[in-house]
Amino acid sequence: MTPDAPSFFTLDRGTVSTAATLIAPVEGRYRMLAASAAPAAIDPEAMLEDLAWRVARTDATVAGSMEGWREWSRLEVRSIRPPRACLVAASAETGSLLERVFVGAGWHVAGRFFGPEPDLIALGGACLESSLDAVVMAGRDDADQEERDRARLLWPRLGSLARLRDDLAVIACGPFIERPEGIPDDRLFSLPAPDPAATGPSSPLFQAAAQVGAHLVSDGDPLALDSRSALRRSVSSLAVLLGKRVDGIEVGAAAASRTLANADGELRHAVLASAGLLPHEILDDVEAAEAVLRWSAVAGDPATRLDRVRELVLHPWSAIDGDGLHLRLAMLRTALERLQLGWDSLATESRPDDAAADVLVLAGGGFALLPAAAVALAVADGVRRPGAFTILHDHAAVLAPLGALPVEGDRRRLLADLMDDCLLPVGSVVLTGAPGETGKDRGRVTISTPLFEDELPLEPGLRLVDLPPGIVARLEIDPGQGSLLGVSGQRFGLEVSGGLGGLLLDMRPIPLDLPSGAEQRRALLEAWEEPAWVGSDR
Amino acid sequence: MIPTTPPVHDPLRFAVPAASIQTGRLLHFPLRLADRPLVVPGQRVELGQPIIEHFREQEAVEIPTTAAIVGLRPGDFLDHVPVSQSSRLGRKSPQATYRTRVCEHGRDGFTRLAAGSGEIVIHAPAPGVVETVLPARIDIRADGLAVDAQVGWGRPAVGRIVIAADAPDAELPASRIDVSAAGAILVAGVRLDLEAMSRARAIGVTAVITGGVASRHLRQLGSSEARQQAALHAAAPFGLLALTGYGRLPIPAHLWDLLVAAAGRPAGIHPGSRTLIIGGDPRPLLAAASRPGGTVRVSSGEGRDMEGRLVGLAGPRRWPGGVYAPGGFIEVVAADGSMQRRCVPLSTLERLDQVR
Repeated sequence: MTPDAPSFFTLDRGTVSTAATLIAPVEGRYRMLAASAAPAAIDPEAMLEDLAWRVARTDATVAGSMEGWREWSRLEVRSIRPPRACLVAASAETGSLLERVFVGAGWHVAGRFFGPEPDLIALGGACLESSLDAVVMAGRDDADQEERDRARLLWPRLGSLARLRDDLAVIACGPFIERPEGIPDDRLFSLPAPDPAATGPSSPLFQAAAQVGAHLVSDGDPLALDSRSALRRSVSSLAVLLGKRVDGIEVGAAAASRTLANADGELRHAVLASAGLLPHEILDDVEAAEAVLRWSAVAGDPATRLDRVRELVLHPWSAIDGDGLHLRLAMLRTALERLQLGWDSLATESRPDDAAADVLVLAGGGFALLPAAAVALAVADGVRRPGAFTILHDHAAVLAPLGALPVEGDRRRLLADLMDDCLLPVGSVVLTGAPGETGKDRGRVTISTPLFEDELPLEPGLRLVDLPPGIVARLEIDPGQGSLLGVSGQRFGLEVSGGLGGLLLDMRPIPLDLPSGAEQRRALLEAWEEPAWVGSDR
Repeated sequence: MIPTTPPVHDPLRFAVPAASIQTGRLLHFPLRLADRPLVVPGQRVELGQPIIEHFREQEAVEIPTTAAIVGLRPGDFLDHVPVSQSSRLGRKSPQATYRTRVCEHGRDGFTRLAAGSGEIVIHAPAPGVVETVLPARIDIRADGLAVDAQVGWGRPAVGRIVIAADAPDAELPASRIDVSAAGAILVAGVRLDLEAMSRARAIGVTAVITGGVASRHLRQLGSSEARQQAALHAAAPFGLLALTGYGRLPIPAHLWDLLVAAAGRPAGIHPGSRTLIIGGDPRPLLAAASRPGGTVRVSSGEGRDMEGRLVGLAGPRRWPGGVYAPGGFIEVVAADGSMQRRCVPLSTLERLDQVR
């Protein structure tokens, strides 16, 4: 870093919240000096002014170098709401390929009509839905003749129905030569056909779908960089920097994204509109709201809890009291569960990403406000991958703005400087699944740290160990007569680091087996959560 | 450059503005495939004037494309389409013809139409001017004062505003709703239970305005509506607006003052856009809702719906529940008339001094 390296702000502007930080050179490296988050309706200028003042008031030596802060650069990214589409195809096979790509590219699929003769009234009703951004028709050259003939008949029908609205985009994925009548150029898009061999982020259709989606919902601000694309880049840079397998999980209010990368670069990426923390479907759909309550340990009248969940969607910043936090945790678990389901469904075959990553980096407003141990528990509940992993939290929402830097080298240098400030150690999770049949010797785990030593029996359940940040623990696991993490008959060791939430030893079944009875389920969730809320005035 | 003395920080910049109350709101009325607009662009509409012929049931109809109809565009009307005996509507007009809108002239030589039955007339919830008429929607620029709600249910409805509850946080029992409220938009306090809602609807109340609404009541209203739709005759329009949200929630005090000032005025609700539009001179209503500079309302948590003056920022604090979040100092008038200073989370405050 040169002595005159510039200070700058980062701004991550979400659909519900804005996060801002002030980053400045201090003693030869960049440091994050202040951070804040506020509802999206608050003027970002007020936030930046507040950051500058906080630093100026608390450290006069730094304040001396803060002249002209109003002119400092801003690394700014913005989250967009997921675009909504109605998908149409003349066969279920083509339709499912199309859906796979659009779901992975961050679209919310509001309706699907896969078949030779879709219901006209239902299809027309879907097109007329004012929240719909686009209607998408897919066709393939390699489909059989009958499907191609049906697609040729469906395409003009779709164009006629889309013409009923003046703001609906029409997207053709495949060989549709005929131009639909009455659809202006700026609402008509031609994309590649779905290809069974390429449905991932590197496929041309995936990339085009993501670009068109961002274009349609960017609200006339085409220059704003999408925060999820930027975060994706930062996670890859971080994986290279750490030389580890990094799983970046972002849960925002409107959508979620996930990026898996290792030292060689990105392995997988997806944006999932279905995994947002606060899906608006909850306001209209009782089942969507009850899916949240299924994960809730809050006691009381179910109807009242349903109202509170809906209130959280309407006023995300308001409920920060005890029950509000518990419902927020339930919503986070639900979002993570949907993210994992979507992630699994988009995996092509048996991929190496079935195993847990070394490091989980959490980002997005979904993880804000909750105690670290509760966050670790939500991750363990939602992302049930066997293995041991460290959890870091991008608590100030810096990673996405850093992803806006166009030069990889700059990004890595800044990440190296800022990692300690920006990535909060939440803790570690050792997720084994329930120990197998153990006979008389059920095994044990010995935890050795500079602070304490402990020996725990291997038994199904959840245990939270107080392992502070900066402390590394050595775990010696003796599976006894059973097996654990695929190992039987021999001891093995692991090293894990501490964090604000400690160490979570999770020996619950994979997948979790929640009781079907509402009260039994609530009681079990409450028992699991209890250690996570210690000191939180429950 | 940062001066050496702190600036006069305006703490109000960190409070979210309350929903605006404004005139000239553009109201969108969606149309279904078979629906028919009854107005044209530029036309002036009056309160309660029919604007849309809406059909509860829709059916697809196919007829051979002929030279007489091939020039019709999607969304255009086509009447007197003969009903084929094999595909008659379950409940249809006795003329034995369809009234339809064109959906598509298919490449297979057939024109596909959307036919409607079981008509319901949608009335304008406010006077105004029709700005747009498209096959999928009508836009009307409303004249009155528009107040935003959080939850809307039902159909657009009109009536005069009647304050039925004693206070913004009072509940209105069914026994207090009588026939004098027929044709009224009833302001009902924190919420209305289902019994009171049914009674109100039965005696001809056109709409209900509450602070909150319980999700289970919305579900029961939905079931009731479905049963009425199955009946031969369409029910009278009825709608509900909850100004604050879900549950048992008071009407915000500034909106209560506005509604009290609007008592007796003609008004309409548009549940689709969760809007109440009040006719007449907006100035007295805005005066009733206005608050002095610096006034904020606590929108949730301890002290909910309390109004006070935001006098300073408290910085990050730990709140009950264990959350760390920025706080603000507000001064409120206590029951004994003394001024009390409290610290509340900034994120729960909404500023009322910009309500206009």
